[in-house]
Amino acid sequence: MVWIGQFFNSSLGAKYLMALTGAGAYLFLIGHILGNLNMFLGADAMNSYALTLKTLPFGALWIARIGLVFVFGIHILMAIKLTRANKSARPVSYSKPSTVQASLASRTMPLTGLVVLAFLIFHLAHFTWRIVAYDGPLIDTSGRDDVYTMVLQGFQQPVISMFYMLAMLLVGFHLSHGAKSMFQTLGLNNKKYNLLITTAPPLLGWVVALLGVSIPIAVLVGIIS
Amino acid sequence: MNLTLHVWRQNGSKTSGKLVTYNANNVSEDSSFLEMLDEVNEGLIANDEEPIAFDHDCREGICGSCSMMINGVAHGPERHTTACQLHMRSFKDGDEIYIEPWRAKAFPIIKDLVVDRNSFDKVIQAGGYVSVSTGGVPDANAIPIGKDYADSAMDAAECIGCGACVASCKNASAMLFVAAKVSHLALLPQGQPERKNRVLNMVKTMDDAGFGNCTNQYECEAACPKGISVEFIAKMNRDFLKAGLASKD
Ligand code: HEM
Ligand code: FES
Repeated sequence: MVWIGQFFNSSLGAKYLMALTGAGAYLFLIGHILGNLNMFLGADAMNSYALTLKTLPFGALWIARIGLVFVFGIHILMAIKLTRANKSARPVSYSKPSTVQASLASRTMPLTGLVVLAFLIFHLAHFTWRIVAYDGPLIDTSGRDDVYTMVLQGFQQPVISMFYMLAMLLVGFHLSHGAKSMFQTLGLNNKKYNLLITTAPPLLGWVVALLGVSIPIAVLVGIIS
Repeated sequence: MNLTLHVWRQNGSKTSGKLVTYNANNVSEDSSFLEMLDEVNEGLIANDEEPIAFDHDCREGICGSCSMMINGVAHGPERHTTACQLHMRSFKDGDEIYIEPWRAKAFPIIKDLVVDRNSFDKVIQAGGYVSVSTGGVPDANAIPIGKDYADSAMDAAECIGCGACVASCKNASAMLFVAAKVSHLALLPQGQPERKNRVLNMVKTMDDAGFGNCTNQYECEAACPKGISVEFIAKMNRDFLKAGLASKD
């Protein structure tokens, strides 16, 4: 079994993990934002959606949570490993650097990733652990956990809303490179599909990111109240 | 035309270097970039100064020796052109030109613009060959090869090992080079018996040499004087995945 360690410790093995966990995070993001659009349907829809997630059979919520810890944990560990190796591979930089075609998004992946990570920690502390900016417990009229009001009260604070919006835009930006890069990393590059691969997944990333931005905006302008 | 050059001067891998400014006057636009440097060097020699060291051999774009960053771009501003095939008509009177060596931990500087590209040779030694038993000369067309495979193998084999991919990569990754060398044999029947170990060993040697990791920015493809496609990197990624999971050891 030593080979598994060696395989994933190689440059390409680490890159596969980066791509697979990036794809996992991408799919999670799509599902998570789509679910959160329940905010637009009102308190009843949002709170029953939240209750459904919490009462999924077979401990599915916990299985998913553990999966997410692995997905993000490995993504971050590989990001650190690969980025460090990349930095050390060029100890002296060019006096006159130049870029021919690398996109800004591709050149700032570690940075956008790091801000998103800071956001993720805040987001968990805010809505999952409820240890910042939360005056609970909030219970709705049917006796359910009132997730709707929690989100509403959270996003009515402009500074918090701004951070959520910034993070969403940065995720969209991160994915504008990541969501096509992962295909190349996994060896999927074929003239027949390249146009599709390089446009559709990043575009979907932007759509999801903007849907994410739409929730705090809707609260701030009073569409959700 | 008259130019101002800022050239990296460094005595060896242990010492530190710096950019030194030189004037190149009355440069003909018909001369090549290396001929322009030759003239600057003649001036330096006439003044009893040390000439600028740079690598060159064929001067016709096939050996891959000439290696220099010209204004931050490997081999200079023209696409699909080695530094030796770059002509001064690509510049204009009064231009300032920065000339630096390839910069990568795996390519230590020997002197000025000359770097040690032995790490590329090590990658080739790790699998960039096919082992053939000697015997009678086989019939040239005894093994049928589909034209698209042959064409693709030739595209990969065009790599001249100059190192521009490493130099231009933001991460000093050698993956375009290694992918080209892995692929041109993986595409041919003769390359099949050693295919799995070839990709595993060449990638391992690449990693050990201290190159960075590809982040799919494709600066290498833009800089490659032979226009090697990043499709080969995807192909190497597939081959390594298959070999890593399916090889016997
Ligand atoms: C919702 C959160 C995130 C999503 C959806 C996501 C998605 C992705 C995807 C799909 C890739 C492409 C993988 C590849 O090129 O093969 C990627 C790469 C990367 N991510 Fe993330 N990521 C997220 C969070 C993070 C975090 C928290 C960090 C850093 C701590 C990070 C750092 C990176 C880095 C450094 C790369 C490699 C860049 C490259 O190879 O060009 N990401 N990400
Ligand atoms: S000197 Fe041979 S390729 Fe430039």
